[in-house]
Amino acid sequence: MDELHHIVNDVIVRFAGDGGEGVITTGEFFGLALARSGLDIFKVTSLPAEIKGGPAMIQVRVGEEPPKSQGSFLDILVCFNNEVYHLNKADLKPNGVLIYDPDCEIDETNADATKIEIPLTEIAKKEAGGALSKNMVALGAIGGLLDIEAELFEPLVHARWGKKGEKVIGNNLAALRLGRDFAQNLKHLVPFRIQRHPHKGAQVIQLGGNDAIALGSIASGLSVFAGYPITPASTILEKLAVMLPSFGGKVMQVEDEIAALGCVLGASYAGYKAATSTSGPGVSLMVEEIGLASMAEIPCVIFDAQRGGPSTGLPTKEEQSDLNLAIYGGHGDSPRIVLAPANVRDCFDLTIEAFNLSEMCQMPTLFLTDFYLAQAAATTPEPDLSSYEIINRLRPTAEDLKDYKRFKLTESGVSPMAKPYDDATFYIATGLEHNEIGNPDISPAAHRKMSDKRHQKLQTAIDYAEKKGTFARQYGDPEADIAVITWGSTEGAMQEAIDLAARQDLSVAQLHLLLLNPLPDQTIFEFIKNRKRIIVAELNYTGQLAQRLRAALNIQVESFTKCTGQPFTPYELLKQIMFYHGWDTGQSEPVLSQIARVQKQRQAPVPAPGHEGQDAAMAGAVAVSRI
Amino acid sequence: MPFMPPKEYKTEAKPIWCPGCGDFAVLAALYQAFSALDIDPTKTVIVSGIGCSSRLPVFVKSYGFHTVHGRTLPVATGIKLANPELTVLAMGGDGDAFAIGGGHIPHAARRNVDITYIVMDNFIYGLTKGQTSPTTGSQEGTGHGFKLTPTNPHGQWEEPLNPLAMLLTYGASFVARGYSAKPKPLAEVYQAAIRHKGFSFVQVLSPCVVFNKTYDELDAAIIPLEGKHDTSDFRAAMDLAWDTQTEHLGIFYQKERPTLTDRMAAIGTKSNPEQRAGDLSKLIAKYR
Repeated sequence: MDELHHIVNDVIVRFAGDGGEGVITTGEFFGLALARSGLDIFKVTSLPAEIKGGPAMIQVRVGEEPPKSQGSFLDILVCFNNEVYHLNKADLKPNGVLIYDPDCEIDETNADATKIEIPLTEIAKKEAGGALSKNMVALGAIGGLLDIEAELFEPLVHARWGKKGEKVIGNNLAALRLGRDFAQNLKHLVPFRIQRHPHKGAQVIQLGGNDAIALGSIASGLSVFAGYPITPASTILEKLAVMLPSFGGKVMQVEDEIAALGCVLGASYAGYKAATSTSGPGVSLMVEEIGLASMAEIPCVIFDAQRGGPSTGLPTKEEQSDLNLAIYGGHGDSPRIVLAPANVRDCFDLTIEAFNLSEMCQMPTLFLTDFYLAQAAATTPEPDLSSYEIINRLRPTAEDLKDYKRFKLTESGVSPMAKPYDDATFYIATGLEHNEIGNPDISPAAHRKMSDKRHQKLQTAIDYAEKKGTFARQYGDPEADIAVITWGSTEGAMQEAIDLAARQDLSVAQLHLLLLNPLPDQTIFEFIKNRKRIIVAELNYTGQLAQRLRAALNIQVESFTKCTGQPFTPYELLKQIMFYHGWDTGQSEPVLSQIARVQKQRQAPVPAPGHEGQDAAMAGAVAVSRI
Repeated sequence: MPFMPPKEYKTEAKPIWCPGCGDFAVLAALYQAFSALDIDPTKTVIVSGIGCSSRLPVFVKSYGFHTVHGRTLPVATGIKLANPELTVLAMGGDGDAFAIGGGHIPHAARRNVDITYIVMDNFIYGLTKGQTSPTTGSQEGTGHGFKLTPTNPHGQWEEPLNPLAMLLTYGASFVARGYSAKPKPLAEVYQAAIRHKGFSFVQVLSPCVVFNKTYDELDAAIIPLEGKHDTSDFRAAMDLAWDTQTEHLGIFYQKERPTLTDRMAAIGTKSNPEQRAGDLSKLIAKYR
């Protein structure tokens, strides 16, 4: 009873199969079941470009604390067929657990892994109604191997296939049970169990990045949403098409991205909050209208789920390469707000700020999410809606309406925006340079004054960001000589790398920027004071943020980029940190190879299941196995 | 709203058009129609694109949105979608509508968005000084206003578009033609178009006096329909549209069917009644 047992409280499991094998569902159910049992999860999927077939994978990281990223190497790899085995085998930790269908020809790569063969296809075909049930056999098996209660999985089967009839449900439940039964005899081979720990405090939800954007938009008071399908942004449009009408809003799929932003500008001109979602190719098409929104001072939010570019590029891969487009895209000087969320929670919180800033400054806001966040899902505390400030555009007062000037020159640059129908006045919004009334005016004085006005409004954004203090985050050792600057979804991987480095007494300071235009220059200058090296880490080829910082702030930064269509892993960032600290490979390799193995994360006396006084919900959850 | 005579719809801005431009008459007819329909300027939006004719909103007392080249219809659709109570008109020229903006027309028509789209057709690019437009007549004699232009100096052999046949094919629920030199019937067509519930399209022959003066040619070609045509007869409308040597004036086709506004209202009532009150917390709780 007092023996030490090997319990992991941070485990990374990948399910790999063909798109048509239902492998994504296996991972989704696994994540959902563990999230509902009180753990935090972070889930990423990689889909093939093909509609059906082609290698797909879903990776679920489970922890007692919210995982910061997808992680580096796998503790458990589940392979549905030989092709995906070879594609994924190198990512498994040397002493990890490999669960596979007999179709896989296991090679030397995984010589030291715990190898568990489970005839997924055979069981499904023979006893569970056909090969389609393979994914539930796999789920049952992993449940059996890790001692996760069957009761956590079964309701998910009912919820997913409830409408398909008893036969489908029966087959899937049988598959779950058969996989579990088969694995029962092998579970002694798995050297660890997952620590489970009921959530404390706030109710937890499991949210996808695109769900969070849709919900955040509703929370902001979105009225009109128009979009055109494009990977990986389509689900924002789809989710809002279902949800927004319930909140009195309208959603329309239109003929192209140009029409989408056109509709949005029309709706916003009419006085209603409006937004669109797209990916890089769509933003490329929208740039002329982004300039119009900037010129005519029309609030709007454009969600750009970035993917690999240029051109059609890598539609289903990760990249952060639309920063230049977002900040500079278009002709002329056209100020706009650019924001980038780092995680699923930001996709909710920062969406609200995207609308706030757009309304406050009466200019377009580009919101740079990315493929990684678009398809990721994570647990997060249920947001307290009353804690969010919702800001609406400035409307004219009765006094303003007496001699209404839509583009009145003011100290902040922001002038009251009349609403057709409600406000007893009228004005022309135009893409031509104009005077205060809104009539075309291309005189030198008008262009100079109106350019000033449009750019002054950026200060309003800076002031708001500084007052809120939530648009930049710092991590690591504030006194460190080595500093990194990150943006977008790379924040978490960098934080993990910093934690790992700290265990080797290597200190790093991190500044993470959520507001990328206008730049919070004071925050940045303050952060870089007395640093020996400043590195900007980002996922693009040319180092777009590094270039921006050099050009806009005249500061010297180094650029560390990755352009492979994949996110950073904490491991590779740690390696880079070691390099910055002057470690040679002789010094770094032993540490790195140790980190790449399954760790004993906790050794604790754990009561056996059913032990007196044990929380019933925990029974089986921390079942023991000897190391 | 107190009655506004036509001249009260004028703004102080002076039209930039050349003397003799058809667009003056197009504008005057619009003032007439607005006055006749008691149009409330604070509840009306005129959307335009880029070109001589797209300057029109500046000269009318009403809300207006002078957008970018070719994007009139998406912006007008967004306005009507956001607030169906507004009267929305879209305006532009033949280049703005049929060249750069051509891709949006079928979708506005098939959605039957309740706006009035007035295209001032002068068969030429005026603002940019005389280049070929999608409706410039061909050297083979089809269409009107054939000429060799700075961009087609060796010949203009492309078939001119047939705007009315195109709009009929796209499913526009109101299709009509007017002529700037006949302002009274034009104002009447406008009134009918604005009153029509659904997407109404009016082609106005509106000659350019500088780069493609077609008054004589058009005067010889026009024949008013004047009640001799059944506007519910789609095939007859199509035959009239394809009578390309004659410019029939009046309403070619009109048929009411559910509009975008109707469809959106129906979705609103179909939506989940539990959430219709806008309880976001309940929706978020589903992610537990």
